[in-house]
Amino acid sequence: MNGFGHLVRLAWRRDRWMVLATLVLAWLLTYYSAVATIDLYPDVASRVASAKLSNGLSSVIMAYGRVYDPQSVAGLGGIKLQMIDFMILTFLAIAVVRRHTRSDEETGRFELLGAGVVGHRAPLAAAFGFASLASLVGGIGIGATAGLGGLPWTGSWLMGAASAGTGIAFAAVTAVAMQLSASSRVGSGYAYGTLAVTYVLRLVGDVREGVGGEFLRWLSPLGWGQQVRAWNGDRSWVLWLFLGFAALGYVAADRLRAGRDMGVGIFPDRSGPDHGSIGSSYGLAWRLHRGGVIGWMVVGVLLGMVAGALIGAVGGFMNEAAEQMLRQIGGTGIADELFVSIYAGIAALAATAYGISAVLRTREEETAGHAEAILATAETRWRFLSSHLLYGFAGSAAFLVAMGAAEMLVWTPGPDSTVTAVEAFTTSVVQIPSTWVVIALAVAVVGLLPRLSWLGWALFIGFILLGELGQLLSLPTWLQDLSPYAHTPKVPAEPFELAPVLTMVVLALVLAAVGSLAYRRRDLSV
Amino acid sequence: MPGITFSLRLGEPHPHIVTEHQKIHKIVKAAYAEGVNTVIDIVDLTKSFGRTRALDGLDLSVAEGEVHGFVGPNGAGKSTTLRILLGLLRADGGKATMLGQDPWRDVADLHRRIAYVPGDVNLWPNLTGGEVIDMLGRMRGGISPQRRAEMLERFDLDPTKKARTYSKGNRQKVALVAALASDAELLLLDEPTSGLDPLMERLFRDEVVSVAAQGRTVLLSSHILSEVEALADRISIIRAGRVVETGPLAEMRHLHNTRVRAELARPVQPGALHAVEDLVVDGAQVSFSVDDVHLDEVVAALSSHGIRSLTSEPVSLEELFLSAYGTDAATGLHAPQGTQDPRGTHAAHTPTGAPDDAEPKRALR
Repeated sequence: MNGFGHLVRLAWRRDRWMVLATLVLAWLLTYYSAVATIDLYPDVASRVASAKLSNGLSSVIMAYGRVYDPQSVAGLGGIKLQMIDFMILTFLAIAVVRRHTRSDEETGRFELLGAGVVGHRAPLAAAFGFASLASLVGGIGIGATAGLGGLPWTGSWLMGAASAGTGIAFAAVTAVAMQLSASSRVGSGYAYGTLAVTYVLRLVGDVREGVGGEFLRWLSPLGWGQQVRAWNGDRSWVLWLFLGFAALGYVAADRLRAGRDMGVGIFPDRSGPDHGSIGSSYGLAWRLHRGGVIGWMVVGVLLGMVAGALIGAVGGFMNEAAEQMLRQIGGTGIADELFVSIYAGIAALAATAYGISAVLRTREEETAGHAEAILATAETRWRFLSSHLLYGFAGSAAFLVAMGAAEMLVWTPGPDSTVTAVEAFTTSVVQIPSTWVVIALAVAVVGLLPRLSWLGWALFIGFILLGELGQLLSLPTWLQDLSPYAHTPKVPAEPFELAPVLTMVVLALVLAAVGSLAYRRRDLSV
Repeated sequence: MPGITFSLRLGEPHPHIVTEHQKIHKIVKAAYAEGVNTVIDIVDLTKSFGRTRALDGLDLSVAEGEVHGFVGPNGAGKSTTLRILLGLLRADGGKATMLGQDPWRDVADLHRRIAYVPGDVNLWPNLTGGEVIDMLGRMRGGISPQRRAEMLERFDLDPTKKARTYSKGNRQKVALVAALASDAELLLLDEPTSGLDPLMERLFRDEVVSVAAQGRTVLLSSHILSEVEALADRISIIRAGRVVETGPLAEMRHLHNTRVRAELARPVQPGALHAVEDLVVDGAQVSFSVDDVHLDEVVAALSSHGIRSLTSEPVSLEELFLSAYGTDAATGLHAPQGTQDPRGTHAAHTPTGAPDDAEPKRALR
């Protein structure tokens, strides 16, 4: 396989900062979470109590899974940490494989490389190899930092291995997705979609433990990672599943690659219409965004339906200690209120992710040279920009509304439920202002600092981390308050407050205005 | 010399004729008209990107109805100038006016009256060529369906294929068709034929000629000097962010020599041809450059050796171009603007490309 080594070195050269930054982030998170978790539950009794509580709450199980060994040092903190680490490595693996397979084909870099002494298999192998290597290194670092943080070493190394395993598994998934899809964008859609599906499978499997349906989590790499039960039973045999899956996935991707030409997917291109109906930036934006918007609406409705249907499984009141513990992971209120608010909080993150990607499309259009073609016509900068901002803001809001509506319509509460269907809807909708603030920040970045457009995502991730780990790491309040998500009214547990909502909407408008004005005044770079 | 330029579409029975006469008529008319309109008027334009000075006091003037050639080496500032005219970039200093309006402020109005073909055409992968053409047409304010169909057929472009399946040349054709099918007053073309085969390039030339015949203006930035030479009424040569020469090609040639190649019956005597430069003797073949002042005596000297064949060419645009840059790059000199005599630098210049190999320039003039 000629050229494999060169291509891996090339991949490293191109992505070294991205990979390093992500891995160091994961390692720091792991270390500090480990330290904090140990502090939180200093003795066996407190650990057992917290484990029992978290296992009794469907909302926690849904988000992170079960604690299998109540006496384990890691407990709830451990399973939360592991889910975060899995996600980080998975996102990294997907991004890396995408960049070095389809994206390279589409930009013509492959052509340049392929004219050299590079074997047919080498590019895919190099992309997969590099992603796997990054996952492995990440996993080793995670294991080391967890152990250094004070958690038991066996469990730590297993957690590291499981994290590496999920990364490698999704590298394989992405490799296959990239062969099947018509473009790298669509392919990454498949990959992230698969990730979402595996998360849901794991979620359902965990909730349905003991009542049938448990097997579902064995269909999901995230499920396997969890079933390694780091610090909770330490089952290392599960790691073989990762190996088998990744090997199969790679072979499948390679076979598919052999069957297609460079630059196209397995399914041949059909011809299209010879006359177009697009007449303006808005029409073009619809064509560009419609796949994403429709897909996200469907996801929103499905998420709402899952929530509405599962609410009945959430039950029970809690005592002071339980409430205390659960506030530490960011929820407010009692059982099903907690569930609804945590669920809405996660949905807010998903909506923000969609919104940011829609807004950053503006920058992508600019670097791809498309913006130049449009702005050379009579379309103004504002029309061009606003056509994409529309999808960012309206799309994210519509996602939350759709989810809330689906939740409301499918609402099947248990006998002790204190949350009404309408409250479920409003909890979802009240997330909109905070998502808009983060999206508006991305707009400001596109306008003011276009070369640093990755900041839009970096800020988003920063806010997530503040939220997830702020309480755990006892970060100062002012720091945690930097995150817009911290200011969303905690309905239904607490009463609705207009002030933070209004402030955030105004702030979002101001940020978006600043970004738009800056966009109109700056040079269009290519 | 008045003559007739034909261009025939292969297999088609009707020729596309534009007479030299029409062209001259246009120039004369423009010269005598009171208040000839300047469609593009740029004075002392400056633009820097960080520490790089892309434009360093650029002056450019394009009159209405003319085809203006804009040539210069890579990185000289051609694309930057076009981008400033399109309102994509904002100049640091100087003044630019296009169709009487400000390119930065009056963007929407102005762009309804112009059409642009970028140097590097990037299309949306999932849209078909036809969809892109229609979209750009509508964004400009309208496109004529007959012209569109006519252009598509002439350039042999399949509008139903998705943009990601197009080769580079076809992508370029999409942008060309979109621009040529419009009725814009001003066409801004940035290396529009760099990916086209010679047949398509010929079609493009015909289209530009017919656009110009309608009184519309074309600013053509190109590296293909033969194309610029054939199409442009006036040319501006840009270098390091400034225009170093501008004017009709005829005027610029006037300042330079004529290249002569001859095959003689008897080998040339040493010293017989002394008023010439760059003399190359290859057996019975001679080639040299001569100032028009000495042309008579040199031809007489050749004649005394017995002339078998004789070719004379005005200096090509390529030579003009290279003389503006060639060895100047080493000395740091550049040919000044306007009519100053560049003979000092020309004497030191040896054409690096072999002009003998360049395509015959007499063919179409």
